[in-house]
Amino acid sequence: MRTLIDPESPALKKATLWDKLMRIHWPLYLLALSAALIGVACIYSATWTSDRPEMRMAFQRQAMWVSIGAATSLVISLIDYKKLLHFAWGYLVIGFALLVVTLAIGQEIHGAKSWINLGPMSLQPAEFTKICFILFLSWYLGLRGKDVKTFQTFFVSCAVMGAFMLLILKQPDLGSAAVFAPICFLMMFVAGVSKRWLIVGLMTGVVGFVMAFLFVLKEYQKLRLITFLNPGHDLAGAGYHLNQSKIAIGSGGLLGKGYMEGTQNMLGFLPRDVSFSDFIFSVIGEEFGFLGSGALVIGYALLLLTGLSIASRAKDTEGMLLCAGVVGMIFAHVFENIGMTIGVTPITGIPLPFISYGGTFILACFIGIGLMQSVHVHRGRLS
Amino acid sequence: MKGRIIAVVFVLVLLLSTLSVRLIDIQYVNARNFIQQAAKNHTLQMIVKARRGDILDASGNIMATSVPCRNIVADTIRMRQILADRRKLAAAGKKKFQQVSEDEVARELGRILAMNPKEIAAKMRESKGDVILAKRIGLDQWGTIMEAKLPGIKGEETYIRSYPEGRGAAHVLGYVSNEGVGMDGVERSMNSYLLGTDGFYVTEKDARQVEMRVYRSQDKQPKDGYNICLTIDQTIQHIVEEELDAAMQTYNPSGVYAIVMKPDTGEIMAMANRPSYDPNSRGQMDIKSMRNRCVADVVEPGSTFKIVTTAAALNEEVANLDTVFFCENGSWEYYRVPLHDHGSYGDLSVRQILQKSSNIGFAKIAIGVGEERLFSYIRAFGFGRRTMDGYLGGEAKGKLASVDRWSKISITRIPIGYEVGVTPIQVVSAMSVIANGGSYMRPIIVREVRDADGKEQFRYEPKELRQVIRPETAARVLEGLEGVVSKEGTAAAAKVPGFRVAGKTGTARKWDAEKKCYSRERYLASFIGFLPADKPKFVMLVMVDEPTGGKSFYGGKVAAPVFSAAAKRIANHLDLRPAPAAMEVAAR
Repeated sequence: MRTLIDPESPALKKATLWDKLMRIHWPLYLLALSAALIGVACIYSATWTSDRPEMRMAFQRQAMWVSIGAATSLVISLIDYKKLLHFAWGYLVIGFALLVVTLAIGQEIHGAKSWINLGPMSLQPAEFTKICFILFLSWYLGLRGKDVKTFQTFFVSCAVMGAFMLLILKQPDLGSAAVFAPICFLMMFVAGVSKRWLIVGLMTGVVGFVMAFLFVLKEYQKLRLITFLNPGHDLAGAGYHLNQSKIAIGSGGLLGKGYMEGTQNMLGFLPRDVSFSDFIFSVIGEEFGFLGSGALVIGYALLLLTGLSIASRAKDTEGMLLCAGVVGMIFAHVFENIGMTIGVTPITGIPLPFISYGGTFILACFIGIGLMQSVHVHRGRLS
Repeated sequence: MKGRIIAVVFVLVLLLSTLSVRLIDIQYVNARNFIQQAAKNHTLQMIVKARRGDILDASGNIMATSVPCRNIVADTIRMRQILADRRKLAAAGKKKFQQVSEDEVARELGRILAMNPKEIAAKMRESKGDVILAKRIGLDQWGTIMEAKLPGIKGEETYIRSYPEGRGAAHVLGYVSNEGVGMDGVERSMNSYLLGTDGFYVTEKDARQVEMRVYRSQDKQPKDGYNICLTIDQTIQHIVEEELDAAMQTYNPSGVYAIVMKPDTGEIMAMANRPSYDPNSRGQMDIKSMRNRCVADVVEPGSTFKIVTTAAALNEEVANLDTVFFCENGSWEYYRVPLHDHGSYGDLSVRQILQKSSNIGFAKIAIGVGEERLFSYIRAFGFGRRTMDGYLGGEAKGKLASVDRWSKISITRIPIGYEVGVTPIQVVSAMSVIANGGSYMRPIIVREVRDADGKEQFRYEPKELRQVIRPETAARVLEGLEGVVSKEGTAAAAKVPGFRVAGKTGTARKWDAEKKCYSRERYLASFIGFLPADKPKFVMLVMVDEPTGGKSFYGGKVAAPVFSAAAKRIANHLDLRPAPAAMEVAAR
C-alpha cells in the first residue's frame, strides 16, 4: 500500500498557480495537442475533394474544438481532482440524465439516436458519460478501500457499467457502449478487485456477447461481425469499407503517397462520410505510409505509458484510478479504431482519440488528459 | 497495486504490438499487392479509336469513308447511384425528375433509338458496369440522347463505314466487319494500311466511376489509317455500272460483268459486277451477289481467245493478215471429231477469218503455230496464273493444261477458247498487250497509299512484266480486229460513232456438268473492245452470262451493244477526239 500524503499538508496549500503550471506534465500535453493538430490536417486532406461545402469546412470546426479542448484541459489540470471527486454522485446523475435526454430528444444520424442538437453545434453525450463513469468509479473504488476485493464492489461497478451500456445500446451505439467494458475492467484490475471476480466478469462478457449476437444485435451489426470473421465476404457490400481501408493503408507502403495525395481518399474509394471520422487512420496510413502510421501507434503508446506512469506515482488510489480509467478509455478507442481499419477487430463506429472528426469526443479526450495532469500536478509535496 | 499497473503496461504494449505487426504486414510485406489494387481502383485505360482511312478513286473522289458515330453505353453502376439519389430527392419532394428508374431510362432511350425498351432494360438489368446498348448511332440521334440527359448513358466514340456510291464498285471496295476488319476487296487486301493504330489514355476515376479529366496522363494519340488511292475512275465506273444495269434489264442474264483497263499502264479504270450488293446495308447481302466475278470466275472464253492465236501466228510469221486458209465449207473432221463454223466458208484470209470468227480457220492457223509455241504464247499472255498479286480477293488462277496433257484435238479447241479456263481480268490484261504494242503490264488497282494528311507513302508504278509480241505484230492484230467491228464482221453492234473501234466477240457454250456436254441453252456472250483502234486509250471487256432475253445469245448481239453504249460515254468522258481517218471512213 502506498503512503497517502495528508491533503491538509501546509506545503501543498501554499502552492501557487505558477507552481502548479510548472508541475504540469508538458510532454504529455504537447503529445496530445500535436496529435490533435495532425488530426485537423488529416481531416482537411480527407474532405477537401468533397462536393459538399459543409464537409470541406469540417477542419475549421475541428480546429475550434481542439482549441476549446486544449484550454479546458489546462484549466482542469490546475484543479485538484480530489475536489472534483466530491461530486461523484453528481457525475453519475448527470451521465444518466444526458443519456435519457438523448434518447428522448436526440437527433438520429446514420440510424443512431446519438446526438443532441444545440443550435450551432451537436453534441454526442455518450462521449461525456465515459468521463462521468471514470470519475464516479474512481471515487467509488477509492471509497471501498480494503473492501475493494469483495464481490459487492465488483457487482456495483458492473451494475453501473451495465446501466450506462444499456442506455447507450438503446441509441444504438454498440461501439461506444462496448468501450465501457475495458474501462471498467482496467479500473477494477488496478484497484485490486479479486482476480476471481474479474475472470467471472470476462466469462459473463463473452456469454453476454454471444447472447447479444443471437438476440439483440441488429442485422447490419451482425453483418459487420461476419465480415470481420470472413474478410472476403461481400466485397461490394458489408466488406467494402474494410477492403477499401486495407487497400488504402497497404498502398501507402513504407513512405506513403504524400499529404493530400491519397487516391483511395481523394477519389472517394474510402467512403467520404466516414473517411474523416471513423476511418481517418486509413487516410493517415495511405498518405504517410508505415512511417506515419507506425509513428502514430508509438505516439499513442507513449501517451498511454505516460498515463500509467502518472497513475503509479499518484498520491492516492483515486488519482491512480482516474489515470487508469482515462488510459483505459483512450486505449480502447485506439485499439478498436486502428484495429478495425486493418481487419484486426470488427468494424464498430468509434473515433480515433484526438484525430477523428468529432467535437464532443475531442473535448472528452482533452478532459481526460486534464484529469491525468491534475493527478500529476497534485501527486504529492510541492518542491 | 504497482504490480498490476506493470501488468497493464505489458498488456497494452502487447496489444499495440499486434497492431504494429499487422501494419508491417499490410504496409511492407504485402504492400505491392495493395498498391496494385489501389491502382486498379482508380486507373482507367481508355481506348481512342483510330479512324479507318478512306478509299479514293484516281481523282481523289471518296469511294469509302469513315463517319464519326457513337456506341451507346450504359454505365449501370453510375446510373443506379444517380437514380437512387433522384428517388430520394423526389421522395422528399425537393425536385421532380423525368426518370427515376431504369425502366424509365430504357423507355426514353427506346423512343429515341426506335428500339424495344424491354430489351434495353433487360440488358441494363443484367449488367454490373458498362454495357453496350446500341452500336454505331449517328451523331444526330446521339445529340437527341444528350439533350435527354439520361443518367449514366455514355457515347463511345467510334466510326461507321460509309460507301457513298452504294452498290457502285462494291466488289472492288469490299466491306468491313463489325469489328472493323476489311472483309473483301481492297478493304481486305489493304486492311493493314487502312486500319491505323488505336490510341489510349490513362486516366483516373473516382469511386462513382466518373473519369477525372484533370488526372489524364500518358496520352497516346491514335494514328489514323492511311488513305488508299485506287486506279478506278469513278465516272467510268459509274458509266459501266449504269450500262450493266441496262443490260440486266434487257437480257435478263444470270450475271454480267465488265472491266475497263488503261492498256499503257495496266491500270484498272472500272470493274463492275451484276448482281451486286450495297455494303452500306450488309444485313441484306447474299453470298452469291458478293462474289467478284471479274477475278473469281473461271470461264471458257470462246472466240475472244482467238486473238491470242492470231497474235501468236503473226508474231511467229506463220501467217500474215492476208494468208489464205481453206475453211472446209463449214465442217471439218480432225481426228474424226467434227468441228463446225456458223457459216459455210471457203478460202478466207486471216483478216476474214477474224471477221467471220471461223473456228476451222483458227484451228488450221493454230496447227501451223504448233502445240508448244501456242502454249508458250498463252502463258506469256498471262493465262493460267494469278495476275493481281492479291489486291483483289478471291482471284482464281484459271485452267491451262500443259502440252503433255493435251489431247489430239486440243490444238483445234484451245485456239478457239475451249478447254481453257480464264478469268475476266486475265482476258483484259492479255488484250492490253495487243493494245499497247506488245507489253504485258501488271494489272493494278491500287495506285497510291497516302497518310491521313495526304502525303504519299507508297506508289504502285505501272510495271511491264514482259514483252509478249513485237509492236508491229500488235499493230497488225489490231488492224485485223478493226475489221470485226464492221458490216462484214460479227460485231457491227459494237461501233462507236466517230471512232475507229477494234474488238472481238465471243459466244461460248457453257459446259453442262450434268449432261457432260456443251449446253445448247446456256451461253457466255462476251466482247472485248479497243478504242480508238489505232492507239487504244482503253480496253473494255463485257461478259454477259447466260442471257435469256430470247432475242439472241451471241456476243455480237448481246455484249457488243453494251460495249458500244459504254464506250461512247467513256470516250466522251476521256475527251477523246475522233481520228481524221475514222471520219473519212464514216464519210464514205
